[in-house]
Amino acid sequence: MTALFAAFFWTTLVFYALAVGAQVFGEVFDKPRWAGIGHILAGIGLVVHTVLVGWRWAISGHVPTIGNFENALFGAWFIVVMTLWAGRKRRYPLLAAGALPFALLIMGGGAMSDTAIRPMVASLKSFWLYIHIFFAWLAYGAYTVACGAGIAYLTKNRKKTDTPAETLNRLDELMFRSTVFGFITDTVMIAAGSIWAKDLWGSYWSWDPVETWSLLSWLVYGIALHLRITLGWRGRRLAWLVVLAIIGVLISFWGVNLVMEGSSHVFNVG
Amino acid sequence: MTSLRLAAILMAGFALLLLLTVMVPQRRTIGDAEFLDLLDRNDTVAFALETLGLGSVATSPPFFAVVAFLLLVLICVIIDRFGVTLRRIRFRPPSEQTLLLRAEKAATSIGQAPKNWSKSAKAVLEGFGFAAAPVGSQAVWAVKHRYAILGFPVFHVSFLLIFAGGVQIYLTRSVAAVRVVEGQAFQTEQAFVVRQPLWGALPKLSLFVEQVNVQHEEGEVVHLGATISGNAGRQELWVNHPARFAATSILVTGAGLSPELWIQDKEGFTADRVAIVVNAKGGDSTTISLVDGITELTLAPLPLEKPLPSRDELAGNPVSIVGRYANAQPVAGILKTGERLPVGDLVVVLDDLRYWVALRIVTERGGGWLIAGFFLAVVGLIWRLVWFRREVAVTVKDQTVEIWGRSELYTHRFDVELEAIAEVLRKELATAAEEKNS
Repeated sequence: MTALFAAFFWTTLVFYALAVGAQVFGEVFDKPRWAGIGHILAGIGLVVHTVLVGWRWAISGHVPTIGNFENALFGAWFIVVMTLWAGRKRRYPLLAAGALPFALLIMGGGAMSDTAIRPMVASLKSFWLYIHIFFAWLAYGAYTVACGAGIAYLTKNRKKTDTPAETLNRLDELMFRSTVFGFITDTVMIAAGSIWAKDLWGSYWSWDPVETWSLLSWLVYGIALHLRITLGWRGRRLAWLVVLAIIGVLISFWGVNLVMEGSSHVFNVG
Repeated sequence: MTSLRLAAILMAGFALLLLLTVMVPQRRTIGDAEFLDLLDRNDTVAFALETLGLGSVATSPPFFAVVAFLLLVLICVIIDRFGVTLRRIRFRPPSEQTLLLRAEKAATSIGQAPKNWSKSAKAVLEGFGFAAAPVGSQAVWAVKHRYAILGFPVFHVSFLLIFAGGVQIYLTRSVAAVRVVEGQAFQTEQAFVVRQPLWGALPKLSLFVEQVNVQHEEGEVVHLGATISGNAGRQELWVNHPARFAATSILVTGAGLSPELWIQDKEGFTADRVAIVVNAKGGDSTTISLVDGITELTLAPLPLEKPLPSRDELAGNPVSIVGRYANAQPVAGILKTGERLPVGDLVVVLDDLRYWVALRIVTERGGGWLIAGFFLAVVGLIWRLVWFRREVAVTVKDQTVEIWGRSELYTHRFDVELEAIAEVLRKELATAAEEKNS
């Protein structure tokens, strides 16, 4: 990437990191005002991030979906947008602190990948790409918001704190609603990917490692919804569940291609 | 069979099997050669992967057993809940006594009850989108999105459709591979069969590759396709856009270059002609026999700088040939288009360099069930989880109006809604009381 692009990129990361720091500071030193400051800092970072995404889109000539860097850039944008939208009425202290580290992680990992612009290759020239990727980012963004709410809940629900029940109830409900939204969009993502795979590889399902991990992750969240709806799991139990379940998402999006061979999933086009 | 615990255990078991599929090397993922190499290395590994079936988890008996058992439990649950579901979607209020008893536990007081309090309560609740009705003289009951519960069977029935589609695909799927030079015909029955169908026969199509289409951008191949025709019609296929002939899809999987060689005798008459599929750099050499076996030609992989040159650049690419005439010493040469290589009593002429295309021929049935299942799954999820059933009851006790409610999901959101209903109702009742007084 060019020096100017890199400057914008690192500026975005700095603002996100400051947002996380502000909210953590506010929590540790009992200064509620800093939660709002963190939200504002994240918002400024998002503006710069949006410029980056648009910039990359303009110079590459396609939606930024090719390779780990573009997926990280656009995917993290979705995470931040959904986090800020969920916390827009400032009713969820620490939400940004819980969710934004994942955006930082993803963008940092993306920055270590090849950032060169590549032409859209044949295997990605499909209408289904946009549906599959769009719903994937919605799903992963929602799961990250759920995880962030879970982290916020666990932090607020410690024995020595006197967090109002109203706040905990809101966080609990945000965990559940984000998981529901993520599960629905995850289902669309898997279905769209399967239909696309038929056109690209001649098979709806190939037990590809990325496919299987995404199904496994979907199943874990399905189990979480069952436990909530049917057995009434809420509060700390649900929080731990959504915090741990994000591991499956990170592995299916990131980890599989790093440690396993044999995947046909074209995240990193060479 | 309808126990949630059993369902949870089976789902966890399925999740464990999926985990094994990604953690343990699978034959279909790493390929036969590498898989067999793994088996040869260690007896314990061979026992685990081959004997126990861990090398093909997705087609192993435990996998089929868990999936079958899960579906059985699913069917039992759907049947078991059918009656309850039908009862819950009916607009049938509980008895007045039940409503009053529930009110004692959880109701919030709103205000004094004027004469037409139940009419006001009904109107307010209907204004919030509820279906409301008086129950006796002391209660009004309302319900919203009572059909939301239908999303449960819709979503879970989708699994049956997906399973049916998957089974039909598994039984009818055939895969074949062929490499065809442009300008040549091929029969799908003569292709190399990768997978035989368990039910049905291989497809029978006669097709002709008119042209291979290669798109370049900044020197890189960005798209690959072919134009094929035959008794089933003419179609253009590209990567991501296969040709379809009924249940058969023909996909482009690769391409390469094919030298067209003419074998001429000393008088210049053509003894044989052939277009040979040759591999690119790194692949194996291709050996063929021509002129009734008299001549054997071995073509080395093409030393191309780019994987697939454009059509304009084809003629300039050299082809390395080693020819042997009868039992004579082999003769080697590097030819470009139009050049000749004497091999014994014959002459090999490189007449043309064309493209060949690798095609995958896939025939299967059941995709429609699969897609219907996907659609139902999404519809069912939205139906069940976005719209949620909630009830509100307004009761009167000792001339005081009270309100309470309950919701299947999103209790916090419902509490906010209930507060809003209570606030509006409070104002309505106050207005009604003022009108009465005046």
